[in-house]
Amino acid sequence: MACHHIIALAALLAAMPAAPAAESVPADAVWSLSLPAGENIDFRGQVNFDKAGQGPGAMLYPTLGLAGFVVALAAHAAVVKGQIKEQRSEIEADADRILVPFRKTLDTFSYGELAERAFPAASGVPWIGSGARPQSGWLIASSPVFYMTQDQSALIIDNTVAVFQAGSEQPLYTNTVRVVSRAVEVENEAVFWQRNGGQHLREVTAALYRTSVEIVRAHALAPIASSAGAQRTFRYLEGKNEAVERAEPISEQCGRALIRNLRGWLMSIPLKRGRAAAPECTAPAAPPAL
Amino acid sequence: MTFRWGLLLAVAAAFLAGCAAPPQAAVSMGYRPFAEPGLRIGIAMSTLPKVDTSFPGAEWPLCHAAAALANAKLTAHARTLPADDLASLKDDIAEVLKLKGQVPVVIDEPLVVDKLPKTGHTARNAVARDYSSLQSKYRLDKLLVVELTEVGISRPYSSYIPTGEPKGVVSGRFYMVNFTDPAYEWYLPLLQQKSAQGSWDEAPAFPGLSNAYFQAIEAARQAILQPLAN
Repeated sequence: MACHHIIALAALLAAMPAAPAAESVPADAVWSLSLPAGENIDFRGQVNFDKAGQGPGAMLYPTLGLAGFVVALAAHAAVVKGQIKEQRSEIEADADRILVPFRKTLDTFSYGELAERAFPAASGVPWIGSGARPQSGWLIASSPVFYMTQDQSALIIDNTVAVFQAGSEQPLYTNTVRVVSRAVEVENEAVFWQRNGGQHLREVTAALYRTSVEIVRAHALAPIASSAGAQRTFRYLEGKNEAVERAEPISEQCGRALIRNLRGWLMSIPLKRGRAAAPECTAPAAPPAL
Repeated sequence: MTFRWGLLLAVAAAFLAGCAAPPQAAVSMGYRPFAEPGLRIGIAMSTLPKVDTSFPGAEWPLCHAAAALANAKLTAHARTLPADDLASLKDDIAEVLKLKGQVPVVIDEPLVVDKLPKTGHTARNAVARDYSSLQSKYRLDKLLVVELTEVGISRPYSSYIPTGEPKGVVSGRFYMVNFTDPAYEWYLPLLQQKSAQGSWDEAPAFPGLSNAYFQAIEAARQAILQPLAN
Protein backbone atom coordinates (compact mmCIF):
# COMPACT_ATOMS: atom_id res chain seq x y z
CA MET A 1 0.00 0.00 0.00
CA ALA A 2 2.77 2.39 0.96
CA CYS A 3 4.49 1.55 -2.30
CA HIS A 4 1.35 2.52 -4.19
CA HIS A 5 1.29 5.82 -2.38
CA ILE A 6 4.89 6.56 -3.20
CA ILE A 7 4.27 5.70 -6.84
CA ALA A 8 1.17 7.91 -6.87
CA LEU A 9 3.07 10.78 -5.32
CA ALA A 10 6.00 10.33 -7.70
CA ALA A 11 3.63 10.35 -10.64
CA LEU A 12 1.88 13.42 -9.31
CA LEU A 13 5.11 15.30 -8.74
CA ALA A 14 6.43 14.23 -12.12
CA ALA A 15 3.30 15.59 -13.71
CA MET A 16 3.76 18.93 -12.01
CA PRO A 17 4.99 21.40 -14.51
CA ALA A 18 8.06 23.47 -14.14
CA ALA A 19 8.76 26.32 -16.43
CA PRO A 20 11.75 25.98 -18.72
CA ALA A 21 14.83 27.89 -17.75
CA ALA A 22 14.13 31.59 -17.74
CA GLU A 23 16.08 32.51 -20.82
CA SER A 24 15.12 36.14 -20.73
CA VAL A 25 16.44 36.66 -17.23
CA PRO A 26 20.07 37.71 -17.02
CA ALA A 27 22.31 34.80 -16.14
CA ASP A 28 23.47 36.50 -12.99
CA ALA A 29 19.95 37.39 -11.86
CA VAL A 30 19.40 36.76 -8.19
CA TRP A 31 15.89 36.00 -7.10
CA SER A 32 14.39 36.15 -3.66
CA LEU A 33 10.94 35.49 -2.32
CA SER A 34 8.64 37.04 0.18
CA LEU A 35 5.44 35.57 1.53
CA PRO A 36 2.56 37.03 3.55
CA ALA A 37 3.15 37.99 7.15
CA GLY A 38 0.65 35.47 8.55
CA GLU A 39 1.71 32.31 10.32
CA ASN A 40 0.08 29.51 8.36
CA ILE A 41 -0.65 29.06 4.70
CA ASP A 42 -4.09 29.99 3.36
CA PHE A 43 -5.82 26.73 2.46
CA ARG A 44 -9.47 26.46 1.42
CA GLY A 45 -11.93 24.03 -0.04
CA GLN A 46 -12.62 24.70 -3.71
CA VAL A 47 -15.86 26.61 -3.92
CA ASN A 48 -18.51 26.85 -6.59
CA PHE A 49 -21.17 29.55 -6.67
CA ASP A 50 -23.17 28.23 -9.63
CA LYS A 51 -26.17 27.62 -7.38
CA ALA A 52 -25.74 30.83 -5.37
CA GLY A 53 -28.31 33.61 -5.38
CA GLN A 54 -32.04 33.59 -5.04
CA GLY A 55 -34.38 33.04 -7.90
CA PRO A 56 -36.32 35.84 -9.52
CA GLY A 57 -39.27 37.13 -7.53
CA ALA A 58 -41.69 39.98 -7.23
CA MET A 59 -41.97 42.54 -4.47
CA LEU A 60 -44.90 44.83 -3.81
CA TYR A 61 -43.84 48.05 -2.15
CA PRO A 62 -46.20 50.00 0.12
CA THR A 63 -47.44 53.17 -1.49
CA LEU A 64 -46.67 55.72 1.21
CA GLY A 65 -45.53 58.41 -1.17
CA LEU A 66 -42.15 58.76 -2.79
CA ALA A 67 -40.29 58.84 0.52
CA GLY A 68 -42.01 55.68 1.68
CA PHE A 69 -41.19 53.99 -1.59
CA VAL A 70 -37.51 54.91 -1.32
CA VAL A 71 -37.34 53.65 2.27
CA ALA A 72 -39.06 50.39 1.29
CA LEU A 73 -36.67 49.99 -1.63
CA ALA A 74 -33.63 50.57 0.58
CA ALA A 75 -34.92 48.12 3.18
CA HIS A 76 -35.55 45.50 0.51
CA ALA A 77 -32.05 46.00 -0.93
CA ALA A 78 -30.46 45.70 2.52
CA VAL A 79 -32.34 42.50 3.31
CA VAL A 80 -31.47 40.88 -0.03
CA LYS A 81 -27.82 41.95 0.23
CA GLY A 82 -27.60 40.43 3.71
CA GLN A 83 -29.17 37.19 2.51
CA ILE A 84 -26.78 36.94 -0.45
CA LYS A 85 -23.77 37.57 1.79
CA GLU A 86 -24.95 34.99 4.29
CA GLN A 87 -25.54 32.45 1.54
CA ARG A 88 -22.04 32.98 0.13
CA SER A 89 -20.54 32.51 3.59
CA GLU A 90 -22.49 29.28 3.99
CA ILE A 91 -21.32 27.99 0.62
CA GLU A 92 -17.71 28.78 1.52
CA ALA A 93 -18.05 27.14 4.93
CA ASP A 94 -19.55 24.05 3.29
CA ALA A 95 -16.67 23.96 0.80
CA ASP A 96 -14.14 24.11 3.63
CA ARG A 97 -15.62 21.03 5.32
CA ILE A 98 -13.53 18.75 3.11
CA LEU A 99 -10.45 20.10 4.90
CA VAL A 100 -11.53 18.76 8.29
CA PRO A 101 -9.38 15.60 8.03
CA PHE A 102 -6.34 17.75 7.26
CA ARG A 103 -6.85 20.45 9.87
CA LYS A 104 -4.03 19.17 12.08
CA THR A 105 -1.58 19.33 9.18
CA LEU A 106 -2.76 22.69 7.91
CA ASP A 107 -2.65 24.25 11.36
CA THR A 108 1.08 23.50 11.50
CA PHE A 109 1.94 24.30 7.88
CA SER A 110 3.65 27.67 8.00
CA TYR A 111 4.79 29.94 5.18
CA GLY A 112 8.33 29.30 6.36
CA GLU A 113 7.94 25.57 5.85
CA LEU A 114 6.34 26.18 2.46
CA ALA A 115 9.29 28.30 1.34
CA GLU A 116 11.86 25.83 2.67
CA ARG A 117 10.20 22.85 1.01
CA ALA A 118 9.70 24.66 -2.32
CA PHE A 119 13.07 26.38 -2.43
CA PRO A 120 15.60 24.67 -0.19
CA ALA A 121 18.86 26.51 0.52
CA ALA A 122 20.59 24.88 -2.44
CA SER A 123 18.06 26.39 -4.87
CA GLY A 124 19.59 29.84 -4.46
CA VAL A 125 16.19 31.47 -4.04
CA PRO A 126 16.16 32.76 -0.46
CA TRP A 127 13.00 33.55 1.43
CA ILE A 128 13.12 36.96 3.02
CA GLY A 129 10.63 38.33 5.50
CA SER A 130 7.37 39.88 4.52
CA GLY A 131 7.79 43.47 3.35
CA ALA A 132 11.60 43.21 3.21
CA ARG A 133 13.49 44.27 0.08
CA PRO A 134 16.60 42.54 -1.24
CA GLN A 135 19.88 44.43 -1.78
CA SER A 136 20.16 43.20 -5.35
CA GLY A 137 18.39 41.17 -7.99
CA TRP A 138 14.67 40.54 -8.18
CA LEU A 139 12.05 39.99 -5.55
CA ILE A 140 8.90 37.96 -6.06
CA ALA A 141 6.39 39.07 -3.46
CA SER A 142 3.80 36.35 -3.49
CA SER A 143 0.46 35.70 -1.78
CA PRO A 144 -0.48 32.10 -2.46
CA VAL A 145 -3.91 30.67 -1.72
CA PHE A 146 -4.30 26.91 -1.93
CA TYR A 147 -7.47 24.96 -2.63
CA MET A 148 -8.39 21.31 -2.46
CA THR A 149 -10.96 20.08 -4.97
CA GLN A 150 -14.20 18.84 -3.46
CA ASP A 151 -13.36 15.26 -4.41
CA GLN A 152 -10.10 15.67 -2.43
CA SER A 153 -8.09 14.34 -5.34
CA ALA A 154 -6.22 17.46 -6.46
CA LEU A 155 -4.78 20.71 -5.20
CA ILE A 156 -4.83 24.15 -6.78
CA ILE A 157 -2.78 27.24 -6.10
CA ASP A 158 -3.71 30.82 -6.96
CA ASN A 159 -0.45 32.68 -6.46
CA THR A 160 -0.78 36.44 -6.76
CA VAL A 161 2.64 37.91 -7.34
CA ALA A 162 4.40 41.20 -7.77
CA VAL A 163 7.97 41.29 -9.10
CA PHE A 164 10.22 44.10 -7.92
CA GLN A 165 13.73 45.04 -8.96
CA ALA A 166 15.99 45.75 -5.99
CA GLY A 167 15.72 49.36 -4.93
CA SER A 168 12.38 49.92 -6.60
CA GLU A 169 9.02 50.19 -4.94
CA GLN A 170 7.18 49.92 -8.24
CA PRO A 171 6.44 46.37 -9.34
CA LEU A 172 7.68 45.48 -12.80
CA TYR A 173 5.14 42.74 -13.14
CA THR A 174 1.99 41.69 -11.32
CA ASN A 175 -0.20 38.76 -12.06
CA THR A 176 -1.89 35.68 -10.65
CA VAL A 177 -0.62 32.24 -11.54
CA ARG A 178 -2.90 29.25 -11.10
CA VAL A 179 -1.50 25.74 -11.12
CA VAL A 180 -3.81 22.72 -10.93
CA SER A 181 -2.30 19.40 -9.92
CA ARG A 182 -3.33 16.20 -11.63
CA ALA A 183 -5.74 14.11 -9.55
CA VAL A 184 -4.17 11.42 -7.41
CA GLU A 185 -5.38 7.95 -8.23
CA VAL A 186 -5.56 6.25 -4.88
CA GLU A 187 -8.18 4.29 -2.96
CA ASN A 188 -8.66 6.89 -0.26
CA GLU A 189 -7.60 10.45 -0.97
CA ALA A 190 -7.87 11.66 2.63
CA VAL A 191 -5.62 8.87 3.87
CA PHE A 192 -3.17 9.53 1.05
CA TRP A 193 -2.76 13.22 1.83
CA GLN A 194 -2.69 12.78 5.58
CA ARG A 195 -0.26 9.85 5.85
CA ASN A 196 2.97 10.49 7.78
CA GLY A 197 1.83 13.73 9.30
CA GLY A 198 0.48 15.06 6.05
CA GLN A 199 3.72 14.48 4.18
CA HIS A 200 2.06 14.19 0.78
CA LEU A 201 -0.09 17.22 1.35
CA ARG A 202 2.95 19.28 2.31
CA GLU A 203 5.04 18.04 -0.61
CA VAL A 204 2.45 18.59 -3.32
CA THR A 205 1.52 21.99 -1.86
CA ALA A 206 5.18 23.01 -1.97
CA ALA A 207 5.54 21.62 -5.50
CA LEU A 208 2.57 23.68 -6.65
CA TYR A 209 4.06 26.77 -5.11
CA ARG A 210 7.45 26.12 -6.67
CA THR A 211 5.87 25.61 -10.06
CA SER A 212 3.90 28.83 -9.84
CA VAL A 213 7.05 30.77 -8.93
CA GLU A 214 8.99 29.15 -11.78
CA ILE A 215 6.25 30.24 -14.19
CA VAL A 216 6.57 33.78 -12.86
CA ARG A 217 10.36 33.68 -13.28
CA ALA A 218 9.99 32.52 -16.85
CA HIS A 219 7.31 34.98 -17.89
CA ALA A 220 7.67 38.06 -15.72
CA LEU A 221 10.51 39.62 -17.62
CA ALA A 222 9.50 38.43 -21.05
CA PRO A 223 5.72 38.56 -21.13
CA ILE A 224 4.29 37.07 -24.26
CA ALA A 225 2.05 39.45 -26.17
CA SER A 226 -1.55 38.42 -25.93
CA SER A 227 -3.64 37.78 -28.97
CA ALA A 228 -7.38 37.98 -28.43
CA GLY A 229 -8.08 36.11 -31.66
CA ALA A 230 -6.28 33.05 -30.37
CA GLN A 231 -8.69 32.49 -27.50
CA ARG A 232 -10.50 29.20 -27.32
CA THR A 233 -12.32 27.12 -24.77
CA PHE A 234 -10.07 24.70 -22.90
CA ARG A 235 -11.42 21.62 -21.16
CA TYR A 236 -9.19 20.28 -18.44
CA LEU A 237 -9.30 18.36 -15.19
CA GLU A 238 -9.87 19.81 -11.76
CA GLY A 239 -9.60 16.71 -9.65
CA LYS A 240 -11.63 14.04 -11.38
CA ASN A 241 -14.09 16.51 -12.85
CA GLU A 242 -13.88 18.41 -16.06
CA ALA A 243 -13.41 22.17 -15.88
CA VAL A 244 -13.62 24.81 -18.60
CA GLU A 245 -11.63 27.98 -19.12
CA ARG A 246 -11.68 30.43 -22.00
CA ALA A 247 -8.07 31.27 -22.65
CA GLU A 248 -5.25 31.79 -25.05
CA PRO A 249 -2.79 28.90 -25.39
CA ILE A 250 0.85 29.56 -24.57
CA SER A 251 2.41 26.09 -24.55
CA GLU A 252 1.48 22.45 -24.18
CA GLN A 253 3.67 19.61 -23.06
CA CYS A 254 3.45 16.31 -21.20
CA GLY A 255 -0.31 16.41 -20.84
CA ARG A 256 -0.37 19.91 -19.43
CA ALA A 257 -1.11 23.27 -20.99
CA LEU A 258 0.01 26.72 -20.01
CA ILE A 259 -2.69 29.20 -20.91
CA ARG A 260 -3.56 32.83 -20.32
CA ASN A 261 -7.17 33.28 -19.24
CA LEU A 262 -9.45 36.26 -19.85
CA ARG A 263 -8.20 37.97 -16.70
CA GLY A 264 -4.64 37.62 -17.98
CA TRP A 265 -3.78 35.01 -15.35
CA LEU A 266 -1.33 32.32 -16.31
CA MET A 267 -2.75 28.86 -15.71
CA SER A 268 -0.98 25.53 -15.80
CA ILE A 269 -3.66 22.89 -16.21
CA PRO A 270 -3.72 19.10 -16.63
CA LEU A 271 -5.34 18.02 -19.87
CA LYS A 272 -7.25 14.78 -20.28
CA ARG A 273 -4.89 11.91 -21.03
CA GLY A 274 -5.41 11.33 -24.73
CA ARG A 275 -2.40 9.41 -25.92
CA ALA A 276 0.60 7.73 -24.34
CA ALA A 277 2.98 10.18 -22.73
CA ALA A 278 6.28 10.87 -24.44
CA PRO A 279 9.28 9.18 -22.80
CA GLU A 280 10.68 12.46 -21.52
CA CYS A 281 7.43 13.07 -19.67
CA THR A 282 7.46 9.77 -17.81
CA ALA A 283 11.18 9.43 -17.03
CA PRO A 284 11.43 10.11 -13.27
CA ALA A 285 14.83 11.73 -13.61
CA ALA A 286 13.73 14.17 -16.25
CA PRO A 287 12.73 17.63 -15.12
CA PRO A 288 8.98 17.98 -15.28
CA ALA A 289 8.13 20.29 -18.12
CA LEU A 290 5.16 22.33 -19.18
CA MET B 1 -65.91 51.71 -15.24
CA THR B 2 -62.99 51.37 -17.64
CA PHE B 3 -60.73 50.71 -14.68
CA ARG B 4 -62.99 47.88 -13.48
CA TRP B 5 -62.98 46.27 -16.91
CA GLY B 6 -59.21 46.56 -17.02
CA LEU B 7 -58.90 44.95 -13.62
CA LEU B 8 -61.26 42.17 -14.62
CA LEU B 9 -59.28 41.51 -17.79
CA ALA B 10 -56.01 41.45 -15.85
CA VAL B 11 -57.40 38.91 -13.37
CA ALA B 12 -58.80 36.78 -16.20
CA ALA B 13 -55.47 36.89 -18.01
CA ALA B 14 -53.70 35.78 -14.85
CA PHE B 15 -56.07 32.82 -14.45
CA LEU B 16 -55.85 31.84 -18.10
CA ALA B 17 -52.06 31.99 -18.01
CA GLY B 18 -52.24 29.25 -15.43
CA CYS B 19 -54.04 27.09 -17.98
CA ALA B 20 -51.13 27.19 -20.44
CA ALA B 21 -49.73 23.81 -21.41
CA PRO B 22 -47.14 22.58 -18.94
CA PRO B 23 -43.60 22.40 -20.28
CA GLN B 24 -42.50 19.09 -21.72
CA ALA B 25 -40.70 17.05 -19.07
CA ALA B 26 -37.40 15.34 -19.77
CA VAL B 27 -37.58 12.03 -21.62
CA SER B 28 -34.65 9.66 -21.22
CA MET B 29 -32.90 8.58 -24.37
CA GLY B 30 -34.49 5.42 -25.76
CA TYR B 31 -32.67 2.12 -25.50
CA ARG B 32 -29.79 2.08 -28.00
CA PRO B 33 -31.37 4.48 -30.50
CA PHE B 34 -28.36 4.19 -32.81
CA ALA B 35 -27.96 0.42 -32.64
CA GLU B 36 -29.01 0.03 -36.26
CA PRO B 37 -26.23 1.39 -38.48
CA GLY B 38 -26.77 3.60 -41.50
CA LEU B 39 -29.82 5.50 -40.30
CA ARG B 40 -30.30 8.88 -41.92
CA ILE B 41 -30.49 11.27 -38.99
CA GLY B 42 -31.33 14.91 -39.58
CA ILE B 43 -29.79 17.57 -37.39
CA ALA B 44 -31.72 20.83 -37.24
CA MET B 45 -31.33 23.91 -35.13
CA SER B 46 -33.49 26.92 -34.52
CA THR B 47 -32.07 30.38 -35.13
CA LEU B 48 -29.47 31.09 -32.48
CA PRO B 49 -30.83 33.77 -30.15
CA LYS B 50 -28.90 37.01 -29.95
CA VAL B 51 -26.38 37.00 -27.11
CA ASP B 52 -27.83 39.38 -24.55
CA THR B 53 -28.61 39.99 -20.91
CA SER B 54 -31.86 39.11 -19.17
CA PHE B 55 -33.30 40.17 -15.83
CA PRO B 56 -35.94 37.66 -14.74
CA GLY B 57 -38.05 39.06 -11.94
CA ALA B 58 -37.85 42.59 -13.33
CA GLU B 59 -40.58 42.20 -15.93
CA TRP B 60 -42.65 45.27 -15.08
CA PRO B 61 -41.63 48.12 -17.38
CA LEU B 62 -40.24 50.42 -14.67
CA CYS B 63 -38.38 47.57 -12.96
CA HIS B 64 -36.99 46.41 -16.27
CA ALA B 65 -35.89 49.91 -17.19
CA ALA B 66 -34.12 50.27 -13.83
CA ALA B 67 -32.40 46.88 -14.22
CA ALA B 68 -31.39 47.66 -17.82
CA LEU B 69 -29.92 50.98 -16.73
CA ALA B 70 -28.06 49.49 -13.77
CA ASN B 71 -26.56 46.80 -16.03
CA ALA B 72 -26.00 48.87 -19.15
CA LYS B 73 -22.24 48.20 -19.29
CA LEU B 74 -22.79 44.50 -18.79
CA THR B 75 -25.37 44.40 -21.56
CA ALA B 76 -23.08 46.29 -23.93
CA HIS B 77 -20.33 43.77 -23.24
CA ALA B 78 -22.60 40.72 -23.44
CA ARG B 79 -23.65 41.72 -26.94
CA THR B 80 -20.03 41.48 -28.08
CA LEU B 81 -19.54 37.89 -26.89
CA PRO B 82 -19.24 35.27 -29.63
CA ALA B 83 -21.38 32.16 -29.73
CA ASP B 84 -19.35 30.30 -32.35
CA ASP B 85 -19.20 27.12 -30.30
CA LEU B 86 -22.99 26.92 -30.38
CA ALA B 87 -23.18 27.77 -34.06
CA SER B 88 -20.94 24.78 -34.80
CA LEU B 89 -22.98 22.41 -32.65
CA LYS B 90 -24.80 20.79 -35.59
CA ASP B 91 -21.49 19.83 -37.18
CA ASP B 92 -20.18 18.49 -33.88
CA ILE B 93 -23.29 16.34 -33.47
CA ALA B 94 -22.80 15.09 -37.03
CA GLU B 95 -19.24 14.04 -36.20
CA VAL B 96 -20.44 12.05 -33.20
CA LEU B 97 -23.14 10.35 -35.26
CA LYS B 98 -20.65 9.43 -37.97
CA LEU B 99 -18.51 7.71 -35.34
CA LYS B 100 -21.58 5.68 -34.40
CA GLY B 101 -22.02 4.48 -37.97
CA GLN B 102 -24.98 6.70 -38.78
CA VAL B 103 -25.56 8.98 -41.75
CA PRO B 104 -25.95 12.51 -40.36
CA VAL B 105 -27.84 15.00 -42.50
CA VAL B 106 -27.08 18.53 -41.38
CA ILE B 107 -30.05 20.76 -42.19
CA ASP B 108 -28.58 24.13 -43.06
CA GLU B 109 -31.64 26.33 -42.86
CA PRO B 110 -32.68 27.46 -39.38
CA LEU B 111 -35.70 25.62 -38.09
CA VAL B 112 -38.73 27.75 -37.18
CA VAL B 113 -40.57 25.30 -34.97
CA ASP B 114 -43.54 27.61 -34.34
CA LYS B 115 -44.33 27.63 -38.06
CA LEU B 116 -44.56 23.84 -38.26
CA PRO B 117 -48.07 22.39 -37.97
CA LYS B 118 -49.10 21.01 -34.60
CA THR B 119 -49.54 17.26 -34.37
CA GLY B 120 -52.52 17.49 -32.05
CA HIS B 121 -51.29 14.48 -30.11
CA THR B 122 -52.27 14.73 -26.46
CA ALA B 123 -50.53 11.61 -25.18
CA ARG B 124 -47.77 12.00 -22.64
CA ASN B 125 -44.41 12.86 -24.25
CA ALA B 126 -46.04 13.13 -27.67
CA VAL B 127 -44.13 15.19 -30.24
CA ALA B 128 -45.79 18.61 -30.35
CA ARG B 129 -45.00 19.58 -33.95
CA ASP B 130 -45.17 17.76 -37.25
CA TYR B 131 -41.71 17.34 -38.73
CA SER B 132 -42.82 15.13 -41.63
CA SER B 133 -41.97 17.89 -44.15
CA LEU B 134 -38.33 17.57 -43.13
CA GLN B 135 -38.57 13.80 -43.18
CA SER B 136 -39.72 13.72 -46.77
CA LYS B 137 -37.41 16.51 -47.95
CA TYR B 138 -34.28 14.94 -46.52
CA ARG B 139 -35.38 11.25 -46.44
CA LEU B 140 -34.83 10.98 -42.70
CA ASP B 141 -35.26 8.11 -40.29
CA LYS B 142 -34.87 10.30 -37.23
CA LEU B 143 -34.45 13.96 -36.46
CA LEU B 144 -32.40 15.71 -33.79
CA VAL B 145 -33.50 19.25 -32.96
CA VAL B 146 -31.57 21.87 -31.00
CA GLU B 147 -33.77 24.77 -29.88
CA LEU B 148 -31.95 27.41 -27.88
CA THR B 149 -34.07 30.11 -26.31
CA GLU B 150 -31.54 32.12 -24.30
CA VAL B 151 -27.81 32.67 -24.65
CA GLY B 152 -25.99 35.30 -22.66
CA ILE B 153 -25.92 36.59 -19.13
CA SER B 154 -28.82 36.49 -16.72
CA ARG B 155 -29.26 38.30 -13.42
CA PRO B 156 -32.27 37.53 -11.21
CA TYR B 157 -34.29 40.38 -9.76
CA SER B 158 -37.06 40.86 -7.30
CA SER B 159 -38.72 43.92 -8.79
CA TYR B 160 -36.01 46.62 -8.52
CA ILE B 161 -33.46 44.70 -6.45
CA PRO B 162 -31.01 42.08 -7.83
CA THR B 163 -31.32 38.85 -5.84
CA GLY B 164 -28.14 37.27 -7.13
CA GLU B 165 -25.03 37.88 -9.14
CA PRO B 166 -25.18 37.63 -12.92
CA LYS B 167 -24.38 34.28 -14.45
CA GLY B 168 -23.56 32.95 -17.88
CA VAL B 169 -26.65 31.19 -19.18
CA VAL B 170 -27.66 28.91 -22.02
CA SER B 171 -31.17 27.51 -22.06
CA GLY B 172 -33.40 25.70 -24.49
CA ARG B 173 -34.16 22.11 -25.38
CA PHE B 174 -32.80 19.26 -27.41
CA TYR B 175 -34.87 16.38 -28.63
CA MET B 176 -34.97 13.40 -30.93
CA VAL B 177 -37.94 12.54 -33.11
CA ASN B 178 -38.35 9.01 -34.40
CA PHE B 179 -40.73 9.17 -37.33
CA THR B 180 -42.11 5.72 -36.53
CA ASP B 181 -43.23 6.79 -33.06
CA PRO B 182 -45.44 9.73 -32.03
CA ALA B 183 -43.52 10.21 -28.76
CA TYR B 184 -40.16 11.91 -28.30
CA GLU B 185 -37.38 9.34 -28.36
CA TRP B 186 -35.34 11.71 -26.23
CA TYR B 187 -36.15 15.13 -24.76
CA LEU B 188 -33.59 17.12 -22.83
CA PRO B 189 -34.48 20.49 -21.32
CA LEU B 190 -31.31 22.59 -21.26
CA LEU B 191 -30.47 25.10 -18.57
CA GLN B 192 -26.84 25.82 -17.84
CA GLN B 193 -25.99 28.64 -15.47
CA LYS B 194 -22.41 29.36 -14.48
CA SER B 195 -21.18 31.94 -12.02
CA ALA B 196 -17.99 33.95 -12.28
CA GLN B 197 -15.11 32.79 -10.17
CA GLY B 198 -14.24 35.61 -7.82
CA SER B 199 -15.59 39.04 -8.55
CA TRP B 200 -17.98 39.42 -11.48
CA ASP B 201 -18.09 43.22 -11.58
CA GLU B 202 -15.04 43.89 -13.72
CA ALA B 203 -16.22 46.40 -16.30
CA PRO B 204 -15.67 46.95 -19.14
CA ALA B 205 -14.41 43.51 -20.19
CA PHE B 206 -16.03 41.44 -17.40
CA PRO B 207 -13.45 38.64 -17.80
CA GLY B 208 -14.76 36.46 -14.95
CA LEU B 209 -18.33 36.66 -16.16
CA SER B 210 -17.29 36.22 -19.78
CA ASN B 211 -15.52 33.03 -18.75
CA ALA B 212 -18.70 31.90 -16.98
CA TYR B 213 -20.59 32.54 -20.22
CA PHE B 214 -18.19 30.30 -22.16
CA GLN B 215 -18.47 27.69 -19.42
CA ALA B 216 -22.25 27.71 -19.80
CA ILE B 217 -21.90 27.25 -23.56
CA GLU B 218 -19.51 24.34 -23.13
CA ALA B 219 -21.73 22.75 -20.48
CA ALA B 220 -24.73 22.96 -22.84
CA ARG B 221 -22.69 21.45 -25.67
CA GLN B 222 -21.49 18.59 -23.51
CA ALA B 223 -24.99 17.95 -22.15
CA ILE B 224 -25.91 17.08 -25.74
CA LEU B 225 -22.72 15.59 -27.11
CA GLN B 226 -21.73 13.29 -24.26
CA PRO B 227 -24.94 11.21 -24.12
CA LEU B 228 -24.83 10.94 -27.90
CA ALA B 229 -21.26 9.70 -27.81
CA ASN B 230 -21.88 7.11 -25.08
